[in-house]
Amino acid sequence: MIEIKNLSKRYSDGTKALEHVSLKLKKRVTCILGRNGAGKTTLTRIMSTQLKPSSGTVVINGLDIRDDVDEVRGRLSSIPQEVDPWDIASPEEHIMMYLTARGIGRHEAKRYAEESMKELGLWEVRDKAMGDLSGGMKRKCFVAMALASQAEVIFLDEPTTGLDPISRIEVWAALRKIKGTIVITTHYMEEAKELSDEVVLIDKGRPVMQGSVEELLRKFKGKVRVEGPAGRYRIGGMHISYLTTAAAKRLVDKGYTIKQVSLEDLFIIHGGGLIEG
Amino acid sequence: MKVSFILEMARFEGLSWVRRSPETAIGYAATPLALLFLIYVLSGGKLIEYAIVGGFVAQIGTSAIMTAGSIGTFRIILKLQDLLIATKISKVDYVLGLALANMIFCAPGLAIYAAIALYLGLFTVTNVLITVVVIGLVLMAMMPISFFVGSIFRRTNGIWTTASVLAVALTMLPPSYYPYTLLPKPLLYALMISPVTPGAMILQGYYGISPINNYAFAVLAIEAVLYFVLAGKFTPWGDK
Repeated sequence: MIEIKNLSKRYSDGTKALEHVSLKLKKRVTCILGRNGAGKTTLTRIMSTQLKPSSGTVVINGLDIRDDVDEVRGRLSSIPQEVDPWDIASPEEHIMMYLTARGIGRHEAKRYAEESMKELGLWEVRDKAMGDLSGGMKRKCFVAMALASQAEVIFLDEPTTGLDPISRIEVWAALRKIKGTIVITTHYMEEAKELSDEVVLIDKGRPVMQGSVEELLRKFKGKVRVEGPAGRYRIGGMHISYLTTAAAKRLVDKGYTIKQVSLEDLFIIHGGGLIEG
Repeated sequence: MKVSFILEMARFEGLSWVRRSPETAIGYAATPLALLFLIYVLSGGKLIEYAIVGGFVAQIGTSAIMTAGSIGTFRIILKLQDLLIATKISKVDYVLGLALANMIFCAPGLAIYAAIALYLGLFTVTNVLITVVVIGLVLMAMMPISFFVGSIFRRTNGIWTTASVLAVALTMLPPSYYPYTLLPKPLLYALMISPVTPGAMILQGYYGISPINNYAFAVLAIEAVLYFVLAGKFTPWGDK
């Protein structure tokens, strides 16, 4: 379990990235959702000991990231946002470098690297330069690192950003093969829906909702999304409201569009739309 | 110290490059080789020993300093340093891994110099041993400087520019390609700040082309330790 206790982070330029965040992440796969700049990456970097909090702490499987940093690092694996491979090195060289950095001996690391590359379809290209591989293959290499790490807790910061749909599906399939607790940050709703047991929605450095996708969408029960010339929320020139199906149908003739509610709508009411009324 | 990681980092950053793009490894030897040619032509072959001795230390020094570019690329562009911060390795492991990678990287160029030295009959058993030790110490003393430069800038262009300037200041200005006895004492002492200076002094002394200076070894050894300690203390690693 990951327990975040009253965590705040203020950067040296005065930017408040997180403010008094307290959360308990108990599920196997948690997705942290939020807009760009919401604080997802800062939270992940603190949880994975890459960044020190201004105040508060995080306890991972009973170990405090402030007091037991070496022990914590031995138990977690963290793949940062927008990490890119060293073009000249191969997938095997990347994985071996990472596993030995985690304190795994070379003999064992070689075995784990081989297993993970076979599992993720990288074995055939293990000795190729990363620069010769597709974007999806490169990203899968980092997932293979996490898979091979044998870590209890794995943090993946926006693991599919910039990938085409097919590559994204490939990475999702790879992520499903990872055992242990996984925390994924993303701003892709579909990704959260596909992978997570629990979702945490963050806005302006604070968590605003936590629960399973079904739980979070329960507040929209019986409602549909209506887009048209007027509405409660506004994004750019588009107005959005959430109405019962019967009420929405009455607006169809007036040029409104009806859509099914999705996780994206949580963003609109918590993180994105401007409330008009 | 994580020896397995240091070896894998050397393979990752050094061997991979030499294996898949050997021409770039030779590239680092281009400037010293051009200087070797120039010195040979201009001195009518009389100062060739200085060019050989200077080539050993200047090449390793230049390559070590320019590693700041790779450090910056790993940190700022590729974010690979972020990946490593949340592991069990320390800054020292990281720098040692990069230093070993650098050694691999420089091996083709150094081999050319060794071949020329052998051809000219400059090598004795003592000279070879001293050369290996000096190259190792210069590398160890220059890498922390490189690590510091590669870690303090927010953008890579600042790193590349600073590394290029330092490469000239720390490897070309010191008496790597000319007798250290030509320098006035105060200037020689000032240039001692670069590990290349005591390195070149030692080699010039042992190759018999300048007087042996007994203090140069001590200075180089102290710099190798001191620069590591200073870089360990003042170079940022992860937290902002």
